[in-house]
Amino acid sequence: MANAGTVSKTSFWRSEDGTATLIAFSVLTILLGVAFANLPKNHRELAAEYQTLKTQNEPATADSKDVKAVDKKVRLKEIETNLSPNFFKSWWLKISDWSQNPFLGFRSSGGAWQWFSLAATGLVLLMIATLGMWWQRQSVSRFIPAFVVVFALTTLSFVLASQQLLKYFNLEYPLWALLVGLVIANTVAVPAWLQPAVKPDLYVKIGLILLGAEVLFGKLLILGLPGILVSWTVTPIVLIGTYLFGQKILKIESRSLNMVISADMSVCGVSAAIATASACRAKKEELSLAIALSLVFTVVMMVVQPYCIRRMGLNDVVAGAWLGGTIDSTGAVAAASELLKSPVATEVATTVKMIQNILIGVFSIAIAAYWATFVERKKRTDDSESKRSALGEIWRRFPKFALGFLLSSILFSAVQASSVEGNAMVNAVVDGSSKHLRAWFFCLAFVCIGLESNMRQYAFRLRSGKPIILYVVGQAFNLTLSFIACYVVFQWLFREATESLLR
Amino acid sequence: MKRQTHSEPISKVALFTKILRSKQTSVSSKWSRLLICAIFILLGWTQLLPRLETFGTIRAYIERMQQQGINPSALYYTEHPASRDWERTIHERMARNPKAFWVPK
Repeated sequence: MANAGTVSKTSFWRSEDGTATLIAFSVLTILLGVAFANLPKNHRELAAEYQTLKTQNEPATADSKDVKAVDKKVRLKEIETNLSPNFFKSWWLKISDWSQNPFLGFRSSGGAWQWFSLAATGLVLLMIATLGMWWQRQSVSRFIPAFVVVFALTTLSFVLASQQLLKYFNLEYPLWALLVGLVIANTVAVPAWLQPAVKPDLYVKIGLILLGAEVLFGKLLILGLPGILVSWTVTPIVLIGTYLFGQKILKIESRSLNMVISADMSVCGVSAAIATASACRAKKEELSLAIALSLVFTVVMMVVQPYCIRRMGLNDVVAGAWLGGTIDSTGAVAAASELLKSPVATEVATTVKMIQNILIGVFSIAIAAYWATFVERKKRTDDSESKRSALGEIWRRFPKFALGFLLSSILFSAVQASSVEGNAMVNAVVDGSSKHLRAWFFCLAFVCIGLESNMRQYAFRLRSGKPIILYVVGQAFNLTLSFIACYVVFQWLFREATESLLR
Repeated sequence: MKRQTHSEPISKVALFTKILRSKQTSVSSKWSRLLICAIFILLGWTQLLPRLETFGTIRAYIERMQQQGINPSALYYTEHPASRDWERTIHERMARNPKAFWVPK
């Protein structure tokens, strides 16, 4: 985001990008080490059995009359669980959904109070963040009390987001974290003692590098060539088309706002917005605005689109692929496809969304490179610094943490692809810890963005109405192009594949 | 303009609006604004939203999602508890006819 990656005299490793990379990689390495150490002693036998069962061609479905086939499915799941014990699973606070009493959010699904998890989550986040402050040679004694308050506000944001109605209509935690921060900033203002813990850029970057562990390139092929065709052709065209529409027709002044809205609308909503905002150094209020637009329109789409699909009489595979390709976030895709009351539609929709999710790794690097090479260069043509060599300039402007994001993605993709045990270790790291930590860091970042924002900045950006027009026109383009692509791919080019999925 | 006097009762909403629009930056006014926002959030979340949940179609929608184990608030595929099951089922469906999907060996 803005201010990120500015050149300072401190070395790279002490900068925000360097600190975020070091911290996130240390966390991922420790988690991977714990997952490795916790592999069961008979992991070789289990892996061999898993491989044998998986390569057997007969499908294992619950409705199959073949008892062995059903047993196979159960056994596969059992081996996966045995190979990936979640050592830290009970450490992370997961606020449960509640209806009237917010305190019930602190009860686990089993009914037990999660006070240990609250303390453990707070302590782990405090340790990680304090380490970052110490590494950046900032005052740790001033940071700790401030962080405790920011963590409390973050917990409050998760509690607000877990209200049943909001949760089931996809109004996710970034929105309420922003609200909490904005309310404080625009009423009592952020006190000076709280400022040391208001570090949105650092939290976002740590969260993004942790997210890299979830961007597994092996998932690109989970729906074969049809999945790649639907995701890889439509998404880049929509992203570039919407960006150009914003620049050439709407003439949106802020290129970064234009890019973040285009990316969150065409790729996968909030997570894409966060990744691209960091890649193109968007201002904090631009990221918030893009996320708010995405969440509001997603609520509308997840209700309206399934209704339209039913009226159009599309088959479940085309319908699922269309929902997966157009609705922004995974949860909303699952909810919308569930309204079609077809398991095949849900499976196809979420699989297409999963492939799109992986694209954020590629897009954020491409956007960072484009920004550093073209957009930032235009801005600074009059600077004396522009006399440096072109490549040196590009490198100087490139958000280096994005390389950390890519590196963690490549590393975890390689570990996952290496063996059955590798796949199990990645599952243990992601499901057991990194996805929870990443969500907490993103939520911390949004609370801090709210704390640093002014309501007037949002009103100013929305006054022209251009961001809303951009989103609506872009989404209309996305819906049209995705529909054509899904229809051509699943109804015409890969008809046999569609029949296999429907059988 | 008519001036507000002590004898005229001022409604609660008018009082809240007055405090929120106040350009004074005294400490008490800032804290009053925060308190009002907190009350709005508290009432909204514990009174208004639960009442909206009871509407027939909304209730039916929430119950359906709960029964099917769908978490609509998942931002990323890893956040959805069923994502691995969906992936596994798709894999099984594709295994019936891998050639149709052009999956590389």
